[in-house]
Amino acid sequence: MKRFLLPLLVFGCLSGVLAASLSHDPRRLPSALIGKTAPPFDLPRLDAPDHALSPDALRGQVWVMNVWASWCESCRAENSLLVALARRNIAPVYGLDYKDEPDAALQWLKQAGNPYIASVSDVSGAVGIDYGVYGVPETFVIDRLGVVRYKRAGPLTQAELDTQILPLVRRLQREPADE
Amino acid sequence: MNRARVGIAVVLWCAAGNGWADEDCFPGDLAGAGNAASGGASGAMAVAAAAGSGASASDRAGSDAKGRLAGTASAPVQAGSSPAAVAQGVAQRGAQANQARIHALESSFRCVVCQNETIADSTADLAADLRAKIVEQVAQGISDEKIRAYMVTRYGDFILYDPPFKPLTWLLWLGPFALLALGFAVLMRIVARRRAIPASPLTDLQRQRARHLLGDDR
Repeated sequence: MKRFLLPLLVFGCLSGVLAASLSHDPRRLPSALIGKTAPPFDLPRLDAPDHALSPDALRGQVWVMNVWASWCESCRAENSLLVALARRNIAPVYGLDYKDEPDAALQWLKQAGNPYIASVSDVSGAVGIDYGVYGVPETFVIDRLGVVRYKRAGPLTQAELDTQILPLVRRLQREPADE
Repeated sequence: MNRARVGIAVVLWCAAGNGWADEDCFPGDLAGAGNAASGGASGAMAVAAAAGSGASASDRAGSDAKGRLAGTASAPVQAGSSPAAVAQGVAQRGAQANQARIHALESSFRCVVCQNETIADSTADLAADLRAKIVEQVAQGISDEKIRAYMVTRYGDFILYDPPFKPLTWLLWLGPFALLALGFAVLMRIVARRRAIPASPLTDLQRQRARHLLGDDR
């Protein structure tokens, strides 16, 4: 009986590792930006192209940045979640409209609902590269000091919002605004 | 034998389930329409920018010649020893060197959208943008290390096909050698144990059977 114990153990370990990697999504990458200052940008607002918006202007508050585009199918799926989040007034949600036609983007917002206090228009995608965007939609949580604390690529889920993002936002809101 | 076959089957099944086999890009949006167009455009841009940057060093010599040539209405560009032709040759060699550098860089980065493809090979929109970024930085004379750092600060070590050796990647780099050492240790133990068993002499019956099997029936 004893001679079967070791192979069984090895088999158990291997099955465990393989089973764990079944539920692990290899496309979900850790962000290199977490713990670093949100890269600066100075982009025109989608609704008012004459006005620019930069992360510096949002210092002192915890805010959520959502990368979206009108061509992005999964953005539509997560839009209702964001609209609900915005209605609860927990944290301001800003949008980065990534590689999009401003007209199409405005139309899309009118149709789907606009959860954003403001969206900025990154037509070339250069700011997206600075934020390491590789799969729209993406969501960032940025703290009072302008440091990226959370990043998620892919559409949000209610569970993720409730168990990760909202608790994090509340915790960050209790942190002091200066060092 | 059977056990090995089952093992291979398990690994194959897991590989398929794990998504290695599917070729969708995450989440399918970045690789949308316009890929082919932007890929082609970026390729053309690469050539143009490389040529431009290669020429920059010899531009001054070249533009002098151009200035003189412009005065005479329809002066044909002479081949051989004319300064313009020399400058052109230098520019071409510079462009070729830059082109090779750009390609080497592009091949050293992973496309984070279509993983398992390099930025050079991928048709994803993001790969085209990153190729353009590389071309732009090479044209500005930025070093390979700085370009690599630029990519890593944005996309993490994952973008490198040659991951750095650091505590997080120790298992990756040393794991295979550790497994090899473990296998060798197990082998040595088995050999040592076998050696410790004294050889028992054959019985008469066994001897007879051996002779029979060997066709040596006497």
